[in-house]
Amino acid sequence: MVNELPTYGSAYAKILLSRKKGGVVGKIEERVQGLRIDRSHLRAFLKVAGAVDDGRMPPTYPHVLIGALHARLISRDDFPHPALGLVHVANRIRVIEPMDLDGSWDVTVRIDGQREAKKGIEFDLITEFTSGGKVVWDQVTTVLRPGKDRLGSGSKPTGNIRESGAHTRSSTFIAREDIGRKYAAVSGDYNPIHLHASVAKLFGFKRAIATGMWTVARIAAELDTDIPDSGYALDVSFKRPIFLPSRVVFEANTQAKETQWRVLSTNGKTLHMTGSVLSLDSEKS
Amino acid sequence: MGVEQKIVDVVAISPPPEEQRAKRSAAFPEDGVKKGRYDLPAALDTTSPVGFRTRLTMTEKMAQQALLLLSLERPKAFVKDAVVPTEQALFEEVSLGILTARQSTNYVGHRDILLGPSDSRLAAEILRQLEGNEAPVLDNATHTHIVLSRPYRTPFTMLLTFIGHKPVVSLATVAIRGLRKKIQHIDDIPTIGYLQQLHIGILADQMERATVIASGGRQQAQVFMRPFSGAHARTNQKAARKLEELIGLSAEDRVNGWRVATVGQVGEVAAKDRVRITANTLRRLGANLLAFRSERIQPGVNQEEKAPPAYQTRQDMDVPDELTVMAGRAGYNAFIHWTGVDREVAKRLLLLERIDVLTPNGKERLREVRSHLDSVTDKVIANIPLWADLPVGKALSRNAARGKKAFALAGQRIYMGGLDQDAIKEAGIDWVQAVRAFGAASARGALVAELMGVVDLPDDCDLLAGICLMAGPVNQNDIGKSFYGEKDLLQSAFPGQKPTSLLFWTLKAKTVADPIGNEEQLMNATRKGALVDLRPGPHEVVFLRQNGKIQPMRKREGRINAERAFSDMNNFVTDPYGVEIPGNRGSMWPEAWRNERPW
Repeated sequence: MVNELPTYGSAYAKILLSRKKGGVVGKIEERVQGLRIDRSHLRAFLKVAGAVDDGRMPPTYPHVLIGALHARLISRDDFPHPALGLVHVANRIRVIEPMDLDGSWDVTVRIDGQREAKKGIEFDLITEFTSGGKVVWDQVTTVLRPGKDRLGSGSKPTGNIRESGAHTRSSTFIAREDIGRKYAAVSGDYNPIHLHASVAKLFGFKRAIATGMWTVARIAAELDTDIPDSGYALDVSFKRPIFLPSRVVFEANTQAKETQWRVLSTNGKTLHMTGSVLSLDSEKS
Repeated sequence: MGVEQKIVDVVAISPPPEEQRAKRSAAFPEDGVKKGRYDLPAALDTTSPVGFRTRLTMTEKMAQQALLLLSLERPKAFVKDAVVPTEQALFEEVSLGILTARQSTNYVGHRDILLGPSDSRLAAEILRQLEGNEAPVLDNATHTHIVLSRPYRTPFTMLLTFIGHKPVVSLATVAIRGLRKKIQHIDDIPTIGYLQQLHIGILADQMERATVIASGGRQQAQVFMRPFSGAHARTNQKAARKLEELIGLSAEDRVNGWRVATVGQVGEVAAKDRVRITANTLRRLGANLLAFRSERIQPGVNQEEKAPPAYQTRQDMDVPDELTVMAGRAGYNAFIHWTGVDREVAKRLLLLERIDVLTPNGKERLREVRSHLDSVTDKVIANIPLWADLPVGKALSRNAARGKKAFALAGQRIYMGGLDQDAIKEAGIDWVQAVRAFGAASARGALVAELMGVVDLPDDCDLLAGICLMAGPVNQNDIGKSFYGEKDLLQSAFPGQKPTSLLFWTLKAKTVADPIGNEEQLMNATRKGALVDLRPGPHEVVFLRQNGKIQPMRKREGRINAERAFSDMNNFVTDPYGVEIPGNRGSMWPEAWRNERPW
């Protein structure tokens, strides 16, 4: 266990130089103790996410805090898959207890193994923030090591995917061309596919793509007080990338503090992601 | 200016027989089918508080309450130490004010700078130095609107630069006029200059009602327009400059013609002086005012063959003459409110000619007007210099020809209105202020028809009546007057006078709203099918002066407004199956930000 977070630098060096060929992920874990928030860093995050500084912990901010720990875990020699090319396909955050911005937390990040999935091999990065020995925030980051049809997986949507019924929110927002770089400056996640079109092309993308967790942070900001202080799970399933720059439509329906939401293209033909905010109480019942 | 306004009464419009009623029922186009103006857009991409809204039915009782606002008198005093409104209340106020005042689609010619209580005290001191105030300057304003206006410039006025020149010298005279327009802010024809003033009057009048509705009846506005009009504007130049300095108007803005046009002090009024309208009616009215501005009622166009059957349905509807009387009453209310003349003088000064088919010889008169306008268009097309038209593929003459379609005049009531400069002078009214008051009168009168169009609105109708205010035919006539020796449109009806026609009203009694996609030209290929709304968002035209700095409203931490005002009233357009237009409903501004009190 360490008291300081690792930096991305050493992890990146290992990722770039590694010659991993794949294999079976065993149980691996990283820990950090006494993690605290730097308020100026939080303010920078709020700005890039378009979120309000209302004294609450933004639900995706802990993910940003321990990004380097994730990077170290998947750059370890006992993690068999090359980090480049891994695809973040889903994410589940549970905010179990309110998190005091002046508090400190012990953090564990682990992988418990892998499983066969339709499009390759999937594994979960499980992150837990504990305070006084109690888990207050946790996250399951589901990652895909793609099989054969990596980027073209899934049939391209052709028809329209409009939904009947009313929404409580339906608006457009812009994922600007520079948002990948801005988010990287705050999160430390300099994955080249998010940074610039010319670099993203080298990895098979027509343009840079929005960082999935930036989009989730932006949506959490948009949902504002529709998200309770604690006692909820924020789920997201990433469907298709948002190419930068893009204007997208965000639709949400909140009833009794539970929300279903999705992000789609302005022509209504591409579903980028779907998600929900569900009460942990309702999950139990 | 102590002339009392008259209460406007409800005159309900009976819907047509059930079998003739029609709703727009616009739907999304099938996949692969080209979108037309009668289809719903794939999405709406906008920062405006309006969106595409449906009209909400109002009971006769609600409408009677709402009509109290059309004879609203000025506040006499503001309550001391009143609480400053929240950011949300200010947003709703400007949503009903500057963000929805009737404007030509592509003329964003106003800006509104909001001052807090301490700056409002400074502004009040400056206002007291002005000559020509319509009413006493009040103490204890919670905030003050400083409204700026710039000359009326749109693609149409760009086209006008090429009109009326002699063949050989046009190369030089076009350039000279273009430069004078840019530097000296001259107008190609007088009515273009009047358009700026009409818009100011419409906004000033609307600001008074917006304040009451947005504050739930707690606040009122004391709006000053006359000190910034015509001769008074020249006399008050020095004091107006102080206001411009207070709001940090830049030298560049001044060069571009931006000037203070109107100032509105807003404050809380004593409970006994408040307008008696229920909170529910005010919310409903606010949502309806946005609905009235969410589509345009275009005359004539829905008679076209490609329109869906609902638009072709015959609808036997009568507009009671009493409705016209009440619309006139509201219009006279506005004119006397802004000029201070008494009602009988106002009736004499406002020159109105009814030219619809229901009047004796109406068909002939309409034909005559159309033929006159078409002949002016033909002359314009023939007169556009080839050296300018050919390099752009005759785009100038093609655009000029589009005027013929735009001037189709259809409706159950069509009025032309204007003023006589000599009569206005005789009445002791500044001409510019009179034009502004005319704008206020025309918009307030139109509002009567729009409100009556939703009284006891049946479920199977979009509306019962709508109105279109048009300046196009007037401008076309003015081109004829200025360059081709034609007479004013109102001349034959007022032979002994020197009329200047200013606006047309066309009222349609019908149950189906006009197409939602009527701003087809705003479709932007890069937005992949989303309808791009040219209506401004608050961050584009509304600014708050806070701690000495001017901040755009609702542009913060990379976020821009996506909220639709009065969205709690839930009047958003859907397809026949209840599917909403993506992006139309909007998303509320963050609660912590909207609950802030800016000062």
